[in-house]
Amino acid sequence: MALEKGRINSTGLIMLIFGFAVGSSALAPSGRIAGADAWIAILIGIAEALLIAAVFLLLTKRFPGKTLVEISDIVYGPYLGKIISVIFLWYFFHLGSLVLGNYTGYFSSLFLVRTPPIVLLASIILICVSAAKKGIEVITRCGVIIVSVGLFFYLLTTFFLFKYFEIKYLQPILATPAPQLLWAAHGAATFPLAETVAFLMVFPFLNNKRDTAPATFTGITFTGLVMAGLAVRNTIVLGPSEKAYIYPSFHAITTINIAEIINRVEIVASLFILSMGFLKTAVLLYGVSLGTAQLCSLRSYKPLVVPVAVLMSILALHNFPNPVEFVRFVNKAYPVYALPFQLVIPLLTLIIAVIRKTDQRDGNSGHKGLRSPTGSKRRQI
Amino acid sequence: MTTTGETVSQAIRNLSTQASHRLFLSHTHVVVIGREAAEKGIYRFIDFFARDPEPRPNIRVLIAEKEAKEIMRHPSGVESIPALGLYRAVQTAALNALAPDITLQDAKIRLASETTELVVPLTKLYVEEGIDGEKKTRVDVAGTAVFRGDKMVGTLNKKETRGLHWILDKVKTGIIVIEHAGGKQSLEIVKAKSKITPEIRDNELVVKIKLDVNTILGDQQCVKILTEPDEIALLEEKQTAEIRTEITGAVKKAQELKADIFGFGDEFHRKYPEQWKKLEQHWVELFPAIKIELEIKSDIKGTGAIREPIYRLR
Amino acid sequence: MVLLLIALFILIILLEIIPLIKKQQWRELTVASVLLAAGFILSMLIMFDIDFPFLASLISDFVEKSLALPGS
Repeated sequence: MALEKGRINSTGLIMLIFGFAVGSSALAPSGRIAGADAWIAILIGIAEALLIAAVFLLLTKRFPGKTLVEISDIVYGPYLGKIISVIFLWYFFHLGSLVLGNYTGYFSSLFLVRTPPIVLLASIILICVSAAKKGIEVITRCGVIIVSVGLFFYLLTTFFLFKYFEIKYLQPILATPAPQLLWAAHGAATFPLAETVAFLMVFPFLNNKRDTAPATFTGITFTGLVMAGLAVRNTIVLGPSEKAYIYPSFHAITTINIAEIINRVEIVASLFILSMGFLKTAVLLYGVSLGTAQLCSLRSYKPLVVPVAVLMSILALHNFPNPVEFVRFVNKAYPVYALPFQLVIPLLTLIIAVIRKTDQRDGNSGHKGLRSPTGSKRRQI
Repeated sequence: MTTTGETVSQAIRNLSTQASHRLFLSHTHVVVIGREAAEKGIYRFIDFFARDPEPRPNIRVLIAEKEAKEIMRHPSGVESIPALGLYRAVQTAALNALAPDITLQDAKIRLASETTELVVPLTKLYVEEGIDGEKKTRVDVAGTAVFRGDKMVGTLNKKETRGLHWILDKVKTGIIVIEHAGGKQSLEIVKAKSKITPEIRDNELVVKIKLDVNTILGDQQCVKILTEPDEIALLEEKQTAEIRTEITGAVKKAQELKADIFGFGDEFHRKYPEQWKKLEQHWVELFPAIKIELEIKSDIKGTGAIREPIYRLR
Repeated sequence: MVLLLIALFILIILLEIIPLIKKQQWRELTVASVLLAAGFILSMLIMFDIDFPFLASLISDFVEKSLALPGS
């Protein structure tokens, strides 16, 4: 029984990965601890993220048409597999709540200061619920529109900022000590590039499985380049004051003032950033609901979307006591916290799968509900 | 409306006793700080405007020669709202390099820099007799307040202010007046381009400033034909000398005040990141000893709509 | 506030849970109800000002204690 009938194409996947990864990093840009060298850190981070992606791509290549939950079941057997799945689903769930909380914080601290955060959060999660219920195909189609318009607007704001550029703020290049630079690079790789590990819940629905790896690599590289561009832009507009801001992109965009006519564009820019955050939350909400449904061998994941969304919202409001804790978490803890989910467990699964030679067999766990949604041919690597 | 408070936030909230509406701070245009307060430190006034999400980064910051309150009581220029007038006046004055145009964003960047010091335009009141013979108090923006850290330590006059602009490559236009041929001749700046190159030469810090200026003849008070090649060459020479005086004047004043308002420190940091760690610790002593090398190329590129004076000595 | 929250949960039950009973999808009903009940209990606890430790702070503390890392 297929829980999801939608199919997406590779362009859609690239766009979705882009929206997924850029969304929250546009709020809290990665690699900032490297200061003016953030863009170099991000470029190094792309390489690391591609390596991490290679692991989970090999995994999905070994089990085409299987989601993460199904793969764990096959590789680890019914009991251990379930535990591994729950660990992963927790990560996606927690990530979703972080993104939600992040956006709520952004809007409630900069725009709608006197609106209760819960109202902002509810309005975001409601759209995500609706999208997640409609399935991955709808999310992807939203992604294509949002990302194309968003990219255009990103280029437009950068163009408007042109007169404020002071290239000299980037110099001296590579003044950051190497350990700090590498740590920043690792930060950029784990947040947000390698978070694409959540697409292990989405890859099975790609109409042409052969495109999975190229599309993911393209998506990650493209996102990384745009993020590096954002880092450069923020640095050359804000100069040494950049490090003081919580949301530097916002402050870079507020600078725009062309002849007192084109100004205050940050609200429009923020809406695009928000819509990318919507993509990320929707994908994660979808992933968690679908995963839980597969875990419990349900016939449909749709009844789970709302309960999961409720839980996600509660956690979102209860992640951080204040923005300082948020910065501490992002700079220090998250790059470590995310690593098991992004790299260690997928790698372990892959190694065990290779040892147990479980790429041919069809669901040796024998669960009825866990049959492949595509149910058809599988290729051997 | 005026208000007081122990902090900026409190003062703004205290306004609610007089204002019938909640203030919408996004419409703030200028922040004027009195000189006395600025000498004690300016950051305590700036922080709120950086921290609160409402004020825009293009707010202009100004220092009032006496009391800031007085400045806001009198209209500036043709605008009837004092704040709007000031907002425009700063930009117009900066266009002619008579005062620096410092937005909140610029102030934040300069305050965040390790060595570059803050400069802020100065504003003061003056009394003028109107057409009806009535005395009117008006507002004038000219000159520069120089800071060390966040404390105001001195001022630059109009000439020194343009010297600062030459170095920062911010001169858009302006008039250079020179004495020549028994009268005063003005030259209008149409293009100016400067480039700073720091150099470390056997334990001596040198900043090379390369300046390329184009002017046109603005007006002449003598009746001599100034558009002869020889005359032009003479004018150019005098013009170069004038620019040189302005720049060295500004540098001298800044070095006296020990305030690196030109960003020389950051330039050294960019070019010599290795040596910078040592330089940075002693920058306050090093900056006043910096030698300036000027390379000015100034050309007169036009003579306006007439080629030679219309009136000639007969 | 509490009433509002209860109303919200009733709304969710009406929209999401009742159709499951009609369709007799018992397994789905169980999982969804468990998750929703967890959400309800958690939000009620927060409503009544019961302090939870902040999750991210816990993770930050744990990571900081166990590893010495560069970065500011």
